[in-house]
Amino acid sequence: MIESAALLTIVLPTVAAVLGLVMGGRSRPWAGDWAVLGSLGALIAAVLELVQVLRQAPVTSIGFLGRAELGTFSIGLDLRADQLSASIAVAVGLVAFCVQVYSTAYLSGTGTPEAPTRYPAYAATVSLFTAAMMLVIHSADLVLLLIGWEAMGLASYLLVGHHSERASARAAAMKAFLVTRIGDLGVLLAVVVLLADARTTSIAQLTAAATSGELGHATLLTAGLLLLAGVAGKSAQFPLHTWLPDAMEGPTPVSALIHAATMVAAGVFLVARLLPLYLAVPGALQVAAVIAAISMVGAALAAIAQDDLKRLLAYSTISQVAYMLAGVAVSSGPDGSGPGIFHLLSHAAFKALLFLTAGCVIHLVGSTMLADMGGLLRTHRALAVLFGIGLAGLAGVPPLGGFWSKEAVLTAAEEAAHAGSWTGWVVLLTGLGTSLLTGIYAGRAWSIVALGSAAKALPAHGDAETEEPHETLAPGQDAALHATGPEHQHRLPAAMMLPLYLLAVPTLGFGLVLIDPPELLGAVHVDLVTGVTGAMLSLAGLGWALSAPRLGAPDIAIALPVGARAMLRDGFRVDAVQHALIVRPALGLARGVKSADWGVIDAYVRAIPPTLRVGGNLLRRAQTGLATAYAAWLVIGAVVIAIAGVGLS
Amino acid sequence: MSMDWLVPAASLLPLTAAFALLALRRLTAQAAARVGTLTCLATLILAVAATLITSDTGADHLEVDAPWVPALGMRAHLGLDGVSAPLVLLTALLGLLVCAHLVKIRPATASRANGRQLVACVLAVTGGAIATFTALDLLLFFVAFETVLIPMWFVIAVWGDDQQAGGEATRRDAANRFILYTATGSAVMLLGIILIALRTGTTDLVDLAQQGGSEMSTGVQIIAAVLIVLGLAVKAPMWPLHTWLPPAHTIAPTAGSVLLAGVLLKMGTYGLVRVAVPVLPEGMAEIAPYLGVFGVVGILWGGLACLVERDLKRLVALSSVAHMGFVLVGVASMTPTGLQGALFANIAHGIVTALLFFVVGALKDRHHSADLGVLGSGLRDRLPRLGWLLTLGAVAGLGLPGLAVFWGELLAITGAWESTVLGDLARPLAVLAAIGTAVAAAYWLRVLRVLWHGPPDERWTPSDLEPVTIGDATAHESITTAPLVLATVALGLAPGPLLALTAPAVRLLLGVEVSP
Repeated sequence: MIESAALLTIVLPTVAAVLGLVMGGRSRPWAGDWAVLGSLGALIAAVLELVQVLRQAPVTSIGFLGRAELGTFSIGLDLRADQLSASIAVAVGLVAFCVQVYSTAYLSGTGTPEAPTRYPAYAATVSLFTAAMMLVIHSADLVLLLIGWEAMGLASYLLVGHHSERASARAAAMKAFLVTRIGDLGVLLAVVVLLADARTTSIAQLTAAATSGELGHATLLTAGLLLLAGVAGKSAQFPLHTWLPDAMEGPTPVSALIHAATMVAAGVFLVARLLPLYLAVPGALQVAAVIAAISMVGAALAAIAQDDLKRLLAYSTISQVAYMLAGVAVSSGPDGSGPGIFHLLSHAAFKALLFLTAGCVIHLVGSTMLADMGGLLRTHRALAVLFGIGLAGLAGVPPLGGFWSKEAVLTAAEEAAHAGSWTGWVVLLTGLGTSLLTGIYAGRAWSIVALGSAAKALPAHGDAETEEPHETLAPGQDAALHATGPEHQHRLPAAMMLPLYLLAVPTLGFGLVLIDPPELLGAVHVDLVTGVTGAMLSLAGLGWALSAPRLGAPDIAIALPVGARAMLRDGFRVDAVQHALIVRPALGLARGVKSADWGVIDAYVRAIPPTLRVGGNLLRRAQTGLATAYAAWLVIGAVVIAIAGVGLS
Repeated sequence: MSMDWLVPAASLLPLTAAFALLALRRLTAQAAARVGTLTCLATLILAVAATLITSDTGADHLEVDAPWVPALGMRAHLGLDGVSAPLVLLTALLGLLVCAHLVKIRPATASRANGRQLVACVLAVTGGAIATFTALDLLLFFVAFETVLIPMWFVIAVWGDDQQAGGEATRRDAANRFILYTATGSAVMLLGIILIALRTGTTDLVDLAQQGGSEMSTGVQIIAAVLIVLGLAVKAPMWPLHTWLPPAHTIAPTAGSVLLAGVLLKMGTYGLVRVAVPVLPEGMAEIAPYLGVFGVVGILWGGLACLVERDLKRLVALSSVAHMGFVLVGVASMTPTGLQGALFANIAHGIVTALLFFVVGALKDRHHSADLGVLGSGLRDRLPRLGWLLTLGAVAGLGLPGLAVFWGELLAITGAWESTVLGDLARPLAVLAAIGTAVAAAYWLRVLRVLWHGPPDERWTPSDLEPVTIGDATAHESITTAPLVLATVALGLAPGPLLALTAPAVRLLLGVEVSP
């Protein structure tokens, strides 16, 4: 039963993706239903799996893709199902289902020839994305996990570049894939190290061998650090985070999918899954904690200065995922991943809610720029309240789920700090500081979008707009908007509103899980002092940002110096550094190689015929046709041979 | 009943059909292509039957051993085992697809040459390659190896693309380069074969593998290994002996490019696994670091060159240099995992590159150029089926886990990492090879960004003035590429059967046991 439920979470979305692609060529009206049905099926299977694993013992080996003989040993491409995989599977299934339902309205119709919605391909790719994430969390083997890991990368490439008629979307898609691929080299090499030294990539065997000390420290440290590179790439942590803000070029529901439960969560999941291995090499965990601390504060600072709602949310994701990673990185025992995973699950709910509400706002306003938004509370009260619930979850306002999960992470850090771990102090202090910053940017978003006065009256969409292409509405959305006609622009379709209510429930009440926590979250608790401190800080930040309108400026970011604001808006210009250090040298090298291929290597080849011709001409000189000349050569030859013979003997 | 006859039949059938087609002057090109398709289908069925028997009986493989030229001690010794079976299957499959492709699509060349003769050449290449992969006698291997070159020269020189700058002269140059490069390599290899034959008194590969080089001193082994590896490395091709490959692949018609990449390149790496590793183990161990370094340089060199290449067909050809670099690294590691990787990468490259050449050929037929600038953007909207096929080929080519190429790369890198013969170079080479996969991602995504993404190029979209437009992949084209698509996905998701087929043979070649 557990076995088939786990299998179905992967198989159903895969089937939906294939059917959607095969059938979708003719854009049938029910093509969307395949995707919705596939994700609904995956959600039901995941819930069944969770119910089963809460009652029974976990299953560590479910046959899936058979065994692969690698020479003298073999690896099994199997699945496993336990509380960790099942609980994340439910989050993935829920978010994917909401996104699919939402997308049927968001990308409805076929669009215009200049800006097609390409819905069938889109829905199939989202299904593939879901299946890949399900594969990652259910893999019992690292190589199998890598298959899901990179299939997810491919799906995100396709989705980020979905509106590929826009140059910025093309660039963002390529960047998303390449940056994560560079991180994935770490995962590839970690697999290589483990295959070579441990002769297995089974997660159960690896963790057992690491705990019992069978595996050498050097091997574990190498593999652990290499895997962290992949984690940083997938989870968008410093210094491989640069793809995530640009990935906002994808349709907004895709952002909900990437940021909530899939893709960025995969990195944290991997560290949690391999926690016994990491506990054997504390050095790797310390590196993870430092990476998380840098990402946490840096991204929160950058979020404050963003002009674009989606980019603001993107930076908040980097910061929040850093909380999860930090929560896992300060663990001291095998059950220490609880707080990080708890935050992962609660973040999945409120971030999906935030992105889907943001999608509605963008749909209404026709722009992603904060400057074009305002007054949502007056015009769309329900939507504004839902947006507020999401922001409150993000800021960690008690008693929302986000409060409990963030404070659980901070409590774990505080306990590690008191146990004498310096990383505990680092995480605790940066975590508390980030609470304040999170409050500020969440409050800023609320005060601009919900309270502020709209720079443009809401129904004004369609008037002469002069934004740059990058800032205007995605063409697909544009088309969908026009299709509904101007009189309907104020009403959002039910398919877009229902998922929001569905996601608001866990955002509000996820803390209730702590009343009777499952074994996975057994170690999760909130220390009173830490909890109150964290909540005070974020409320202070919120209050500060919300008071800004009364002081005359709806945007608290105006208080920043111009230079600092530009610096933060550009994410500390890490992009420019990467461009100068990697992209330009690589292209220069490529040009060098191309000219050397023709000018050096092939030059030797091309030199052969002329050389032979010259040599032939020289030798021909000897063939004079004169008998006397030949006789002379004969004598000279005889003498040379004679001398050589004498000399050698 | 003994089924040993399957092995010689698999190579004799296409060879006989090739001669028959040459004799049947009345046959139209299309009828000839149909005959070729049926012949290759029959060959494929023979190969599948032989492979099933081989994988069933394990080491007790199918074998035929008969005297051939008694005066020279040459024997017609043919056999099929786990190393050769996948390559024979691949050759038969590609022969079938190429002939099926020729039923409807003929090279767009000004040459008056008959399509019937092209089919004959394709069949000759198929038969000769299968003979190479099944030969168990060094001299027979050499003869079969050479047999393939001549029909291939005709394919490039007669049916090659004459719309390139330079026209006829460029085409001849590409064909001559191909033949001179490989013939020079073969001459060097022949010296090595003669050296082995003189020192051991036999040319039988089974006997030689059993001796494992015990009849030859290390010095002789090194000399023989250098000679043989040089000869095979031209074909593989190994950097810096690769400059024949881009022009040959670019000029050849689609049928020729598919066979060159899918079959001919494999003969070089197959020779390394079949001859160099088991017959000259000590010599190979000495030169393995050089082979590994050249392989890794090829991976990075080919990848970087692809980053700035403007001609799509040439780009696919250059990416072959990178892919075959992984095969060379796997062989150079001299470990079971590395050899498994090399053999897997061989097959995966054959399938994926064949797919890419079919797609690029289809694009070239429609746009009369393979230049990225001429092909233009927006394939996903203009020609969705060809666009998706190109995308699949590209993501497979960049080694995406879950598609065929990944397993070969992973195992080759693992082999390099744990290799003892590579010494201190082992880990740096493994890391550099892994970086090569990121370079591959960069150049394939560049291609997709320029061709697949973007607004539909207006030159190729229908307008009121010019209603004639370019059609998407026809049913015929879809069917000929479908087996390659399926194989790419199947090998990527379920590598087990292919790895299980080659594993016992690899252990036998290296003389190792299964670890507990």
